[in-house]
Amino acid sequence: MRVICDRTFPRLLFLFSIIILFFSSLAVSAGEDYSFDIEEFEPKNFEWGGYTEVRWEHIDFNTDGAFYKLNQYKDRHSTLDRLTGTMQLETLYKKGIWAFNSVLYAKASQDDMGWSDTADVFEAGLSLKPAPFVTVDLGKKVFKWGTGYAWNPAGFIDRPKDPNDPEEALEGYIGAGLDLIKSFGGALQTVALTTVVLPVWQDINEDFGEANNVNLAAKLYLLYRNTDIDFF
Amino acid sequence: MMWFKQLFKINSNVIFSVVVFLCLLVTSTAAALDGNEILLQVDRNLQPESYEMYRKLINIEPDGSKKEYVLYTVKKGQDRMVALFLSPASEKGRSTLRLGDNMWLYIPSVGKPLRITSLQSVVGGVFNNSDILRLDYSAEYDAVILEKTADKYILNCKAKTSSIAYDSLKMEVDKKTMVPVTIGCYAASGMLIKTLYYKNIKDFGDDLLRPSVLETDSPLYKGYKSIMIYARINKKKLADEVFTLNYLPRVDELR
Repeated sequence: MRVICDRTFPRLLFLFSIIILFFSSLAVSAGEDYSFDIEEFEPKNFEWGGYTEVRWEHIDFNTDGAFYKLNQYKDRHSTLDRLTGTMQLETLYKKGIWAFNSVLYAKASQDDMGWSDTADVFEAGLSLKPAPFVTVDLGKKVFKWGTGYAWNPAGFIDRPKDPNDPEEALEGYIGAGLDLIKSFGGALQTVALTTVVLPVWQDINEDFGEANNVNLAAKLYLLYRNTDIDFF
Repeated sequence: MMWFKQLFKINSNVIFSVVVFLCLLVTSTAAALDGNEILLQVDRNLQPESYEMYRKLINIEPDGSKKEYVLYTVKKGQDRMVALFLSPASEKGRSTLRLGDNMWLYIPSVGKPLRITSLQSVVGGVFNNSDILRLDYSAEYDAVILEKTADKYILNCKAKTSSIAYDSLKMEVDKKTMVPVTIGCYAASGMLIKTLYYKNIKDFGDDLLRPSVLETDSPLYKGYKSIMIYARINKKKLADEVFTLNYLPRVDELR
């Protein structure tokens, strides 16, 4: 009798487990969630976003390197510890064919050589979009020219990217831009012309070029026989 | 009155014969649909030629972890499509453009759109870029009927050019709703790359009754599964200029 009990109990346990597994798998398949509420993704007139970041870095210098000797000739450290805090706030307000966007950026860091901080308006500008083929921009804007991801030899009207963080926001320049697009059906599929006016006056774009000068820039994009062609 | 009754009888017979003839004609036309005509009907039943659409894409990994994306998509004609990421926040503003065989990915912080290929995936998971930016099946494939069952057509669809992501598709089409049920996607070697399962027929309005869920799995990604859930599909008139690289930063304005 005892032997029978010993065999029966594991069998019952096995059977019970199978039943539990069967019903739990049913519950999982019945619980597949195919719901998708798009209410939260409806377009809004005002949107904002951003990020905060705290970063600690430890850097070991190559003390025999040429760049070390050039850059660290005053304070010779073989290592550097740095704590950096960054905050970025982006806003966008849309009304009809008008849109206003801004990007505010602040950064502070403390390392073995001292404290540094900065706070800037990276972008603040109006856009007028009366039709799909035309856009007019006015204000401080990052134009994002050039074809490179980390290094942009053709980014003539942008500040240089940090190759260590190519997606980091950059400060824009104050100017006006006009973007025109035309699509075609043949071998030439798209023509797009972008023109930008960048003045350099006192307190406006002073680091861009010659003072008291108005700079003009143009970019022509063609999609011809499935090939992207850019002229700057 | 006799002549009137006689005339009425003759006319009734003629009308009856005409109606029977028309019914036979319609039935024989439906029965005579070839593979490409079925594929065209499948396309029109899945979506209008030009539309806007909201969908959620879920990637499920073998350990059960999930990653979700929400996309707003617009399409015009047979070969122009744009998809904009609305969620998660880290991807918001990214968009992808397809013009025929050409595909680009626009990342707002980078600026210049990058060229991508149909077999890559901007979201990871089992769906690749050609699944996410899928054009009409009839634009990319020629179909022949392999088999007819009581409730299904089984089509063999062969890619029109070698640049299309899958060399051939084996498509099961429900005869009643004329939408796909399962699609096996094959490489030129005959290897099964993935299987697509259309599920949960839903009324999207405007006479559009189609599956609201698309699932996929692949023998190449064992244990992985990806799901697309469609929430809204509306006809929409769109300018050609919407489907250009310069317009990608502005796609959100179409909503």
